[in-house]
Amino acid sequence: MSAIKVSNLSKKFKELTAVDGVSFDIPYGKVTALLGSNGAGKSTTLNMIAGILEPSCGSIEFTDLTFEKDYKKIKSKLGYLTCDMALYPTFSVRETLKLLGDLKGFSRKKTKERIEQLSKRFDLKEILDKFFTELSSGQKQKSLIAASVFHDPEILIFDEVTASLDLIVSKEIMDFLIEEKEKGKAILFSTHILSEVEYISDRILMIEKGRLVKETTHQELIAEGNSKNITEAFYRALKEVA
Amino acid sequence: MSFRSVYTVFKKELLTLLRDRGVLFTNFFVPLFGLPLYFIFVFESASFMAKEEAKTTQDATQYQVSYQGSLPTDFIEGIKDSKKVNFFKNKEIISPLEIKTYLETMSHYEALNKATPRAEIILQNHDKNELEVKRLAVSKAKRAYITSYNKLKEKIVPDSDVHLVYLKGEENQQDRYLLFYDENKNISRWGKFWVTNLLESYESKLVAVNKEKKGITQRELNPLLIKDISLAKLSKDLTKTIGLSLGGIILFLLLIFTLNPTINTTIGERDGHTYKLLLMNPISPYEIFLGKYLAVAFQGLITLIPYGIEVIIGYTWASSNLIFASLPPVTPMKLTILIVGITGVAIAVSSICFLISSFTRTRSQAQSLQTLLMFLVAVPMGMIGVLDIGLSIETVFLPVLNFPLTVENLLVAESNLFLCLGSFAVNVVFSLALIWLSLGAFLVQWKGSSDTTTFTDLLTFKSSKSKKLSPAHAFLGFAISYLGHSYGGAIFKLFDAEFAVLFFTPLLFSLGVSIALFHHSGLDLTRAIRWNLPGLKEVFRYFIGAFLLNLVFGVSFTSLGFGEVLKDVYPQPFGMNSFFSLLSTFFLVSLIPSFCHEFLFRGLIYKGFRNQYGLLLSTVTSAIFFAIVQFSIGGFALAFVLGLITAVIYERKGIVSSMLFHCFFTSIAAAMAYSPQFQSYLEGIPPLASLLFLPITVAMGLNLALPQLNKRAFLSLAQRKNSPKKSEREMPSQEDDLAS
Repeated sequence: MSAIKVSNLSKKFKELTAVDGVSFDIPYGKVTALLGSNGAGKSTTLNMIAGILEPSCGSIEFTDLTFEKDYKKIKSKLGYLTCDMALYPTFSVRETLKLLGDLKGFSRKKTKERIEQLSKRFDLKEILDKFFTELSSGQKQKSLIAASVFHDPEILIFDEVTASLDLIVSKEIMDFLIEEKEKGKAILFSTHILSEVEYISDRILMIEKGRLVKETTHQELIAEGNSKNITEAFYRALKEVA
Repeated sequence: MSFRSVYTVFKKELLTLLRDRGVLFTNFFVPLFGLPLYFIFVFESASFMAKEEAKTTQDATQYQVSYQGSLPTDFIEGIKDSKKVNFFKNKEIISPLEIKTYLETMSHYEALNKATPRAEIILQNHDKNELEVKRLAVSKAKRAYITSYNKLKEKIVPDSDVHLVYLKGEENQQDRYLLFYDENKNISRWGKFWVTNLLESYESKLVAVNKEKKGITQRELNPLLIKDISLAKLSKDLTKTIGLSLGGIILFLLLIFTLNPTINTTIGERDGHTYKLLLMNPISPYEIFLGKYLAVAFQGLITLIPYGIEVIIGYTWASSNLIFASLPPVTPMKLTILIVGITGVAIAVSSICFLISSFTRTRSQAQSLQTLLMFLVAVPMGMIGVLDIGLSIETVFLPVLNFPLTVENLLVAESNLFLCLGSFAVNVVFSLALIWLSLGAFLVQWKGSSDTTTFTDLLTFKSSKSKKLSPAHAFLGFAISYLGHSYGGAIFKLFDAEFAVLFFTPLLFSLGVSIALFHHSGLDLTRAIRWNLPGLKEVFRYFIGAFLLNLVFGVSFTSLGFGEVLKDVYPQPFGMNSFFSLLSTFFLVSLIPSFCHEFLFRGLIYKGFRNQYGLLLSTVTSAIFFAIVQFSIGGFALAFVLGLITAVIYERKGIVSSMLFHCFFTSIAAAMAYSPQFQSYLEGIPPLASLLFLPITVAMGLNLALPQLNKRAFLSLAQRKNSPKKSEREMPSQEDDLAS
């Protein structure tokens, strides 16, 4: 059963067509990686799926739910994070998480429990009462992940969340995504770090110039051109498309 | 719609707003310290001015008599029976002038009735001194009446039985009476002594009766309060001034304080990358919008609460101290109207700011529109005086429409202010040019700027891109300041608010504009301006320099026959007979203008030009701008030279030094202008003698300017050698670092 069904999705910004008639399914229990060069339309696609940008045409369905009718229901299902997101600078991490609990409609008890769980999972105890601006990059990203999965969403959309992070934090985040996958959640993520794709992805969607050019797995991608590794395979695939 | 979600967003935004240091400053520091200081300053100045006025007239013209409860009947009857005082309990006469007119009319009336026995002359209209002649049977009688009336008009002797002293119950005040007399008539002065004696003896009688009683209050023991009313009279004008300025100041502050919070709640979320966090919750964009709007409106309201409380306390306190005795009383109805009106205004201002920041794409666009709004809305509103407690509900809500700004009034005010600059037509053309340039500057800001804003860009509305102060800022600042100085001053003049013209106009339009534009350009004010403190030697040099420059000006102006010009440039607000008057004059004439003008003309205009143009052009332009706002030919020459010097000092030593020199210069110039001895001394000096001072001054000027010019000249030469096309303006400045 697919978590997200994207059909003929397009986005135009005045003269520029950022996404041009993209269609794909995102299944539950699998990690789908979205690959493409800079400006290919990855973030625009993810933004549309997350309901932050309105598509110019096409549809996005979440197991029969659409944004037009079930905006709030879909938002409760989605966990969304991008590399340029931030928590509120004038709030401590705990206050932000409490605020999110209120916005999700959680009871105080449930919010408290969830903060406990997440701070254990991401080792946030020491930074819970610090302001966002006082944290290191790794701590910032961990607290952002905690915020984005605060409501335990069944679909995770992560856009280049490991950019500019060190190996250890990146690995922790990847391990977290694997855990979530094992719980049967649908995961869609974009990245430029191909080792991460090789490490966790079950499927690869390649987008170039706003179009979906390939739907494959990393094993297939390497096997296709007898490449030595995924970097070479991806480079070759990009050249083919161009 | 989920109210819980709206409430959560509201709570979050409100918390964010309250954690903003700027909001803490505006909501606590300004009302707790700023406003009381303002009130104290205004009241102290008022009582001081009243005392100064009292010194010039031998006798106080009016007395105010107050008594707890109604004035005892036996006392009133005593006055009435004496037939020496006319006692008015009614409200038909409201000013001493009208009483005087009324009594003179009465004299006419009686005299005329004697002169024309066949006619009955009826007092038709007290105010206009019109007499209507009735039952004039024949035209002969009419002629007789006119002849006798014209004769009598020339020499009217009041009835010797009536002293021209009047005690009148004050409107809406049960326990207050006003005592008037005509200071021009001896007989009236005697009457005043008679009444005050009567009051005092009556008071001692009451004290003698009451002092035996136990548990009696001071007021009961000493029930009659006889007070010089010149204070109360002056404070009536003062209330108007406070009403006019305070409303404006509060709205001005409210707008400045609402700018950033509203921008932070909208554009700030996007700039800070936190909006996605909010959008990923099961809450609709409408709920987010509503929550944010409510928070901004509420913040606007809570900003007003401390001010409102202070104003109410101020009025109540003032009322109990009889300062506002001549004002209508503060009734619950009027207070309600005031509070509702102000609340409406606060919400309206917040809403407009929120709307602007919701529909603009960048912080710079929002700030530019809101700054414009600040001047378009706050200044006229302030001038009308939303806080004038005597105003009606229409005036609170539609101040601009109610303003009686007639062409005639404006022309009169204009001609006062612009007399020296030529005709009204010249001003219209000049103002239109400035409006055009300021529009250019505004649009350039709106489009977001680049490093190469030129005059042509301003004229053709092209854009630039930088966070540095630019000529666009300088023009916008100057244009608003000029228009504010002239039209704002003109409007203040219409209200006869000399005090406001002297004090608030430079403050509002120089300092206000500068701060708003610094804020608008995104620069940290404290770091954008060099605040280096000058050394003692430097201070001494500035003083001597300012003194010598004044001598040159004094001698040359006097020898050329422009001695009076100095007096026009430095108006004397108070007498010079006490320390406090000297101190106040120093504040109003030297310190405040130096501070405000240096901030605007060097800190903003000079710096704006200096960021893009050479030393010479920036110096001359800022000096010309500074000279123009002096609004007089003599003032122009004086200010131009002063502007050149202070610009050089600013460039070399920073703003504190230029303020100091400016302050020394104006203080010495004002002292010279006010001193008759010095004036006669100057007149005795032969014209050519002024040339003696010239070399000294030129030497001092060169001493200040040369090292700077040399440095610049060397640098520009070096730059020309390296790249012949590059202009010399590429000097690294502090703003470069700040902007990056």
